[in-house]
Amino acid sequence: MASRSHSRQGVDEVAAAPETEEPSKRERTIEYLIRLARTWSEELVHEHSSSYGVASEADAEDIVATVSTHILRRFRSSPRLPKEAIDDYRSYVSILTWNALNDHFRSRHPERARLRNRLRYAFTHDARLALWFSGNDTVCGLSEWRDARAADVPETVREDVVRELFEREDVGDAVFALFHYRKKPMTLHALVDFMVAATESGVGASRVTAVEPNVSILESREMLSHVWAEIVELRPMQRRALLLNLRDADGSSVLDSLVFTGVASTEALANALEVEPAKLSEIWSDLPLDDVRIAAMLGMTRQQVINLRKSARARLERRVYSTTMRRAIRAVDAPESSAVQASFDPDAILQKAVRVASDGVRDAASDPLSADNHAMRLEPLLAELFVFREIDRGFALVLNGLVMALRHREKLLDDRQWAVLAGAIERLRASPRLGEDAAVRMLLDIENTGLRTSPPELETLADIGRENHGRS
Amino acid sequence: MKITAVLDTTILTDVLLKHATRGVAVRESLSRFDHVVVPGYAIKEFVSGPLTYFTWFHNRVVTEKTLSGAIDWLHRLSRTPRRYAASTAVEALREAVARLEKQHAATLIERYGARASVSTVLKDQIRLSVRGTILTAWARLRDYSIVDVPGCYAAAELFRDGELLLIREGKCASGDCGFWPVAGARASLELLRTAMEATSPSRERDRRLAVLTRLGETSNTSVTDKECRSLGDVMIALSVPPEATLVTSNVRDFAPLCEALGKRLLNPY
Repeated sequence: MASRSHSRQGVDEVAAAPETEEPSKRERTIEYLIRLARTWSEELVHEHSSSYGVASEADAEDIVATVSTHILRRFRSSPRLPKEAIDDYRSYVSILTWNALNDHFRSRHPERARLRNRLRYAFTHDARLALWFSGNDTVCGLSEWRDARAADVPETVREDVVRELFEREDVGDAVFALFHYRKKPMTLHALVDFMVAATESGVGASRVTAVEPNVSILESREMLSHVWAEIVELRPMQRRALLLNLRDADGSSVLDSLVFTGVASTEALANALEVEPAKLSEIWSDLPLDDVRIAAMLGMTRQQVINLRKSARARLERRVYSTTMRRAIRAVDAPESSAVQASFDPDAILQKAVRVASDGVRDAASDPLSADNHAMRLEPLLAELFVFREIDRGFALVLNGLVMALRHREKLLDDRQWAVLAGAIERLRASPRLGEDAAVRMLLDIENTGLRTSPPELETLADIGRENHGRS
Repeated sequence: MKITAVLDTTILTDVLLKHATRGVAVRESLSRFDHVVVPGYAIKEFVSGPLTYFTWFHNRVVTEKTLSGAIDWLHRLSRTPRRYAASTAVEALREAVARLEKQHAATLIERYGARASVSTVLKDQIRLSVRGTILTAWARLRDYSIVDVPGCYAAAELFRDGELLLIREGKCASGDCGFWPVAGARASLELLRTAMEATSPSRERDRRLAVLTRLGETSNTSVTDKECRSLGDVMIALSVPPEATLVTSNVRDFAPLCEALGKRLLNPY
């Protein structure tokens, strides 16, 4: 391995060699320093590959290449090296490598990276907690332990303790409770591992994902609270028909979730169902009930139960939709200015876009020029909506496809194209979190009408290896 | 009788990745056929070639902080044998970005701040456009009837790793590919070898000829991964069923092969 004195000498040579003098000597020195940087960078990357999720040699090579390219660019762009590089070249290379490792970690494990950032924030802003360095490790724990060495990765923590821990709403509270239980500090890396492992085991799933704005249990709980508040507002018969049959994606009764999350007590549920708590206990294990049994309980026909539930659902969907959009706004981190916040409303833009698109559908066949005016109105609305692209991957994909379709249209949109665009916008409004698979199907529908959903110039990417294939 | 069209790799690429430009002419040409099939070999070439370039660039856009950082990576390719097409792609992308930039409304930045800034919006527009192209191409690929499906194609998979899109390609064990049409086409191989000998020498043609000669001289018709890649257009020509028409824009290379095998050929452009 190259020594420090060698590196120092090389740097001095580069620093002393102005661009115009002895270019060949300068090139040789640069080459030498790049080799040196690669060696040091490779060592660091391999040493920390597991902590930073560097899973393959190709990943490691990417990171090292990023570092050496960065240094090469600095050498080439300036006749002299930056001062920090001249003072200590090895540290300079290390810093660049750490940055590249961090970038890699963030790109490959965005959820872990966000979790680590949230924890770091909690440790540096909560007076009960502290973060400090011990050797090469970042250690965390209670503030009174500051500067103590980290203990090993935590021993098994009892499941009930973990569950209790993860039920806390504040990340600071959760880790404070963990350290209170463990009574010794640990590395930040081990803590992230622990929380992720707890998630994967299912015990702490809700809490760990709570740091993810899109799938937070806080939001789920909030959403459940909102749904519950709306259910309570339903007419008694609608409410009973709905609640007795209400099930989640797994087919289990939602009443379980309401009680489990503390959104509603069993007494509150009994009240909502207009039954005695004892009667509710009796039927609890049979929930959700089938329509025949509900009909018998409510003294009506099965069809009446179905109709009641249908109207209850329709009302709930209308009311709960606005909450989904509010959550979406929070997920993209609304601006602080209250004036802007007031108008920070993707649903309002979507509503307007739906109206404009339906105007387009109406006029497409009979008055194509008016329809084109609607297209011109629609384009800036969708461009504005693009600000909310973080709502969901699928949302972003379709929205971008719509923006591109309008931007790259080469002739007036026909009625079929209008119908597909309008349908897509309505779908975005009805279910903004549509997911990527549904988004792909929607893009295919748009493209099948002859519209393009990406800039035409991107097509050249298909040919970047053409010489290798030897095709004409 | 049903009239069948067989797509080669260039046409498959045009249909899947150049859907709104060259793909339009191809679809028009294909509308006169009753049935369209794709040789497994063309899919293998498409996945390991054009689709891989798209996913690579997509992942660069995801991982680089700026769009220009991702385009810089493309620029780096222009120092390799891929330089001409890579330079064209760099220029084309810069044009696209400049055009999108012009259309960006400044009022959005005033209203929404950083999330509407030109650089973040453009980066995401390019990222999402490339992503959409890859995912729709992959979805369309499933709609085709495939002939001569190689084992290594069946194992190919497009999957997500966080925001990244990755292709897992099946690797053919050396000399262990029992699928290829070469196994049942000894007479055709000889015809193709004679036809190839009459064409102008090139590195690609010489490699192909060497494999055909080797296959003609031995009873072993298994091909290694490298030989498989060298055979290229030969594999596609062999996959064209009798009475079917090969649709290709690469007439120069395919004409002698199709002529030798008595198969029809159509250039849709």
